[in-house]
Amino acid sequence: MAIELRDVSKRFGNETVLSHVTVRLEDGECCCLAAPSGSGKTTFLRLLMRLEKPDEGSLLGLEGKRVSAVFQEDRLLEESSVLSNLRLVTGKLYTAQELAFAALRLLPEAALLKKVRECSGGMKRRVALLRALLAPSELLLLDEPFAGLDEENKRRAVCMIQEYSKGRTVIVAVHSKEEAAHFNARILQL
Amino acid sequence: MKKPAIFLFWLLVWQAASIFVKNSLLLVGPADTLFALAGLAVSRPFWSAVGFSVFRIGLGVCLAFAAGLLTGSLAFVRPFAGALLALPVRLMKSIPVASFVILALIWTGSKNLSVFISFVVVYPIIHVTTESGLAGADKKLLEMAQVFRIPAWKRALCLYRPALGPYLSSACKTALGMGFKSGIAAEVIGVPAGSIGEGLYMAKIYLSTAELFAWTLTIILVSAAFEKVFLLILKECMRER
Repeated sequence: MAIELRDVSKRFGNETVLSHVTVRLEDGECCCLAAPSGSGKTTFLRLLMRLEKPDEGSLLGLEGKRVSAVFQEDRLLEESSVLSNLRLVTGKLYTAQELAFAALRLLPEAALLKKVRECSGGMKRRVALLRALLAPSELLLLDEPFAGLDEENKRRAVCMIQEYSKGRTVIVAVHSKEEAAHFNARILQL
Repeated sequence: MKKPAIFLFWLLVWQAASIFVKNSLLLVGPADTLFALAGLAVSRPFWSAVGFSVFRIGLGVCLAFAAGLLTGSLAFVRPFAGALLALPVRLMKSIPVASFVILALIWTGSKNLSVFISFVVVYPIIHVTTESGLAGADKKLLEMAQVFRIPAWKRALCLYRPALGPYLSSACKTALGMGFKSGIAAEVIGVPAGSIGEGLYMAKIYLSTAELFAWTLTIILVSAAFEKVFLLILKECMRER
């Protein structure tokens, strides 16, 4: 079932962050939100995560859909290992070997058993991305997933996103249309 | 190096004060205290009294910890339960220990008095700390758990437990000492046979200041040892894996 936002508006105090947004996302579609900071990308994604409620309009097609996400911040368990952070959301979906194998696509081997607080900013971002990709979900929401990544890691991350987004509805919020071009996806306007 | 030097300094101050006072009824020095403690330590009743009091106070503290953790969590999850428990918890915090001691003497006699008293002193601290510690869990991580639909038991283990750890550890440092102090004070009032409290009481009756100091030193040592072990176990339980 497609996800639909009909005439959605969201305000925080006197500030209107989203105004009468209407968007339809087909099942399995990949879309990019390419807009500068402060344009409401994060609020749009938070509405889809059901962390915010619209002040006006309605959201349809989210019932029963599992969501996984990369948040604007990494939101990792800093005192736990990288693998524990991944295991937290995957449960028994993968064996230890499968999980490590998937993680190694974006991370060096030495990082897997490290505590997250000992990882660099870029590594943490990759762990957050891995967590979103490996978690079972039908809707994948990525809020600036490449923040702090160098070109090589960005390229690997794009490959992995493309691979793991098959059969899922994906929305990627990025800063620029150049970053959106990596995905060959529909650009959403807010 | 710094700590032993400070310790030595205060020992010397104590010894100097006892020499200055020159009255072993008013103040005995560290040497006399250690001598009295050595005298006590070779007798079986001393160790049996230590075991009696530590077991009962420890039991009261552990029961209070478990109950406080349970009701504090309940108060956090169900605000109505929290509102319901707020009054008895506040009463337990503000009613003087002596009133509880007399009440417990009427109800149950003196043998298990220190279990009850250490419980009523420690329980409200743990209850309040648990409730506020859980409320201090990272909101952003809780949002993450909500989005990923992480089951409640995993949230409790991975998000709430690490948030609660520092609060509990800090509260225990105060609560355990208070539990021991109140437990012994209750024993001094109730004078249960074969307890540290009885030893202190007898030292008072016979005006044996050296023995009084020796018992006091014993209480400090067992209380510190209990606190150390308790905090170590707590730290291990609260450690993120």
